[in-house]
Amino acid sequence: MNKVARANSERGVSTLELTLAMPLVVFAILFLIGMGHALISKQHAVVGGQFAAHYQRVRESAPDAAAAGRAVSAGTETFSLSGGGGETLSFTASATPRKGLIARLYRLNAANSQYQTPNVTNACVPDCRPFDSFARMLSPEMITGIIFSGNSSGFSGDGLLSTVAGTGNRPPRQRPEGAEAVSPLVAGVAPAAGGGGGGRPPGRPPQGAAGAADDDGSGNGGNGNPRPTPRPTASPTPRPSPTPTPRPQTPREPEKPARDLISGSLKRSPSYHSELEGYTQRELEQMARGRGPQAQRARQMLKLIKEGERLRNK
Amino acid sequence: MSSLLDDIKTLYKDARYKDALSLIETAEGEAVFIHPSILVWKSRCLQLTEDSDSHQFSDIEASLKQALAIDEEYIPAIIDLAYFHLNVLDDAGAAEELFERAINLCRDQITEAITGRALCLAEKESKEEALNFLLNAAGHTLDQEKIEALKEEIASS
Repeated sequence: MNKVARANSERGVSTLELTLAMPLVVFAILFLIGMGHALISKQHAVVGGQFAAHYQRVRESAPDAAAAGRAVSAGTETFSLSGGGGETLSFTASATPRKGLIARLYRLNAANSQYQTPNVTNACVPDCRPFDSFARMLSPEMITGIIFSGNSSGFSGDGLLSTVAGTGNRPPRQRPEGAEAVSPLVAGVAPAAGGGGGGRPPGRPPQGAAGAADDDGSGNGGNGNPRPTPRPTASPTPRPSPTPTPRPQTPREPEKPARDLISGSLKRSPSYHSELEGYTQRELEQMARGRGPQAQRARQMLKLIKEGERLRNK
Repeated sequence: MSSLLDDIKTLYKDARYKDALSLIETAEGEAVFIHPSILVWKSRCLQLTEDSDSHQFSDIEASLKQALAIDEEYIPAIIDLAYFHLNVLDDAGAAEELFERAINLCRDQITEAITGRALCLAEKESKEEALNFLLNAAGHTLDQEKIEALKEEIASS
């Protein structure tokens, strides 16, 4: 191979070139760091939403936004939480970065995430008998049943699980109305495409356990759990509305959040609960039918809405 | 007075609660005596205004109580105060007492009005007309549509 010497004018000076390219390199690095922080905030919002939904489901009381914020981001973000629900718990978490140079210099948008889960408790307490299922699975009747069901219709994951768990003839408790049943086996191998994160509560059948929606419309995905069967809760709106209940009332705006229906002064009432201000009147009505402090708070919010309506009709 | 009330009502209907409040407060500053109705409108504006910084939340109740201090039988003030207790303060106990008071006052007034009209009908038209009117007196006094709607709402809740 012939070596060709370059003329002096064609030679580059690597140090100089690096120096010239440095702003671009620094910009690229800063951009990547910024993107990383945005992703962290998003992930914090996702985790916060999940935490809130499961906290409410298990403890049956509203989670504290400040505590959730401390838990997920150790106070590096301004964390807010809104949500609740009756049959379906839905929580929206927002995390706004407040530490770091960029967050201090510029006003950054909050990363939002919504998480929904059916409001059911799977705990067997106080009647836990964890070995009952093993005894049932190993019983001669069950084994015979499996063999016969296998012979008659071939082994299918659904049939086998249904036979073993003894749930074949019972209606699934957690299935929302209109949803199709999905075998845990099928759901387990479903491709996890789409938004990142999300997830179903551990040990929970897949029906009705919805992931998060990208409710801020940023297009950067939520934490959804796409599965092959249609979900009744999947809708273009960020939060699925509960079943509307027709009532002969004065005209109202059921799609507006409560914060827009309650006037500024009434927001200072002790009956106003800011954690429910994102819900529509319809959702609050659904929530108010339940029991417990959350339902009570929903009823109070509805009263404030009605008071505003009453006064505006004067 | 009537002009002031008309102006307040016009502003209120246009949802200009802040302007209505300014008008009321100006009138309060100038006038020696304030009619309870002005104070009732003030409390309504206070509840609906979005400019919540310039007023205290307690001003709403204070305004209604001031109206009742002037005239303790002023029914709109009693009813508004009752709704304020029921819907805003979530105190159905206090609200019920006030509603009962308002109903008693209204009953006297509505009975007087119905009696008067029945006497008019008997004098102008016929006895049958007057008796028919008295038979349907309950239908004349209550908004049946609203009552039915409330019945259904309570039944379905």
